[in-house]
Amino acid sequence: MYDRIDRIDVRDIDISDEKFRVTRSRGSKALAESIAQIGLIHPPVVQETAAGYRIVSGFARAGACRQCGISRIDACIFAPSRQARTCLQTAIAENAHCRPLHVWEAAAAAVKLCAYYPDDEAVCRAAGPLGLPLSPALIEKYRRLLGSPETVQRAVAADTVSLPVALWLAGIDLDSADAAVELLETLRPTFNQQRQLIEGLHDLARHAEMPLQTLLKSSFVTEIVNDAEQDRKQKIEALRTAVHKHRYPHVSRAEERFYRVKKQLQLPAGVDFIAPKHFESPAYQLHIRFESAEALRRKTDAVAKITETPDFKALLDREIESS
Amino acid sequence: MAEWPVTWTVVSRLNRPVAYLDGPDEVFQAIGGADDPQDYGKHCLWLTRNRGAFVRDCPGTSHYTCCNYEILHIGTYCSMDCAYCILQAYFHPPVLQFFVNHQQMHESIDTLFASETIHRIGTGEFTDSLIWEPVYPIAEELIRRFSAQHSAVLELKTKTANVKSLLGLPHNQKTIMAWSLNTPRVIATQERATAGLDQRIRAAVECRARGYPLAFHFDPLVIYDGCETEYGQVIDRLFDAIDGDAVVWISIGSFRFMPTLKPVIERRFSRSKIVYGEFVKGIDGKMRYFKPLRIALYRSIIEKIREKAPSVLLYFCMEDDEVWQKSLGFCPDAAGGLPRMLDGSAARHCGLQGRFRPH
Repeated sequence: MYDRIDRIDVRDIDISDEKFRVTRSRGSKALAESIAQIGLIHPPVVQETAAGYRIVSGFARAGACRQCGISRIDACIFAPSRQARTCLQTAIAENAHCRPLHVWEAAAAAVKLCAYYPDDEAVCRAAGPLGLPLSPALIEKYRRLLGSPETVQRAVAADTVSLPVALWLAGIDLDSADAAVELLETLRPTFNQQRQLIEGLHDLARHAEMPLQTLLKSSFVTEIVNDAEQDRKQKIEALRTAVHKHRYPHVSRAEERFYRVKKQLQLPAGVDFIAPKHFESPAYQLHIRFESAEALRRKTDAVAKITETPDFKALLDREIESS
Repeated sequence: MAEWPVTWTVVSRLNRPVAYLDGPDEVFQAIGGADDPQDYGKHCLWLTRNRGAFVRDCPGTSHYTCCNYEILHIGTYCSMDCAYCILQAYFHPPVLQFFVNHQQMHESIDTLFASETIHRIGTGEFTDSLIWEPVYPIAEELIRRFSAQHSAVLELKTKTANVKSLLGLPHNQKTIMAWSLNTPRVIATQERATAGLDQRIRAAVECRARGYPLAFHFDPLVIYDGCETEYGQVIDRLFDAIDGDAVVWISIGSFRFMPTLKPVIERRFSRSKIVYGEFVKGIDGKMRYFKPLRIALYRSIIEKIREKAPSVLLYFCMEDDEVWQKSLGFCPDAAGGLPRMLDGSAARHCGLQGRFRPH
């Protein structure tokens, strides 16, 4: 498939030419050490140009070779006449079939591929065999990702920010997006927590008519983030709780009240009352865990007594509490 | 359809550039592909045939009490621009359509009348009932048609004050003129290009002077600091001008929305804060104000209306029994069910003589 395999001078490779680049990693110390010790196992793929060579696949390997002072390496070479589309397909397939592409890499590959096909449907058909499953909707998301601020893209590539949150950050002002990324890089919440946290903060900021960045730099956030007494997970939980309390003051007071009153009921072990989600449905649930008929009878008797208490009636009270 | 009389009337009255298209694709693609489809959709009128039913049930929503309203489907979307409007996210894309196959529409209405059972039907669900009058006298035609029968009532629901052409019509009390009401603050900040509160009330007074039965819809209620006082002031202004006996019903509902509407509002109404209230996901998947907050506002409004117009029929649009019980003091089933309550009020106020439908 290549036009030739040859030994080339590493200095003739223009590593700044990223025409076919679909990866972000610049090589690692470990890779350089490995190459220094046992040599280059898998030759990079390059295309010959008027000035030398451009990399098709193997940016990290070429970089590592330079790092450890290797001057000549074997390379799989495409002639200058080879179509750019073929080179790009090779770059994608070589990466995607070795390991799952990271979301940023998949985005870069997809968007670059779009330049060589008449429409997104054709791109999807071509990308499948290369190990890059796509849909038109996904391509659109990838376009938006690659149009997002560099800080957001970097965070996605580093797995600090999820794709949905990145797309959401792409729609807000640059300073706020940067500040949000900084917060997520500091706290590293799970992808599920990220959206909840950032959207909650965004809503609070909008409600207070301030940019998100201002809220993120305010003591409301920084006091939690900079609290030396708490570890990262505690800070995430503290911030989530603070956001929930401010975003949903009545809901959170109702929740607190429910748990406080439920505690007062002193339910038997294995018995629990579950409030309807957000107290919207009128139906509560009673969970009883039991091991025998006798245990069930004992627990249901205890529950029956509890339902007669004022505390139980208070538990079901859904009037709003004043702040 | 280009040759149809309705099409010609609209085209000649609009006096705007016209393009004749073979199908909807070009319109849908142009609107769907616009930077702001919701805005573009308001500036492009698609005259077409209604290929579905003209008379259809209100979509309602699951788990909440519905009034079994019927919709007369004359068109879609709206030329006014309310931040909270569900139609922005309901139609894909949102296209301002006016249906021109009125022969079929009238056949559907004939079938409705022939049933000799009481029907409440309105044109203000998928569009505003009175925005069309400047380009086609659809309300005028319908008022005349409904006046000549005795079992169905037409509700024309609007945020306009476009009633001048309707005042002298022989309505025979078979058309209810209805307004969606809100506080001046909400109208000013969330309802672009609509008539002001005073204009709406003035239009209602004019209609009442000509004998039309009236209805009002406090929907969507928006919760904000001071809202209870301001809604109370709206009720004062309403009943200072209108006698409660003229009112067939008043519906009450709080702002609720499909989650997909939130980004649309944020994009199109960047200064609007209505989506940042205390919304939780309802049982039907729509975002609703936290229930105790809804109940508190409902109680305040109901108390005020009761003080001004004790006999007016009040009902909730899409609420459950808990809200009914805690706000109005009864559940609709105890009064025969919401549809039957509304049918009864329509029969009394509008002189309907048909049989009550089983609901």
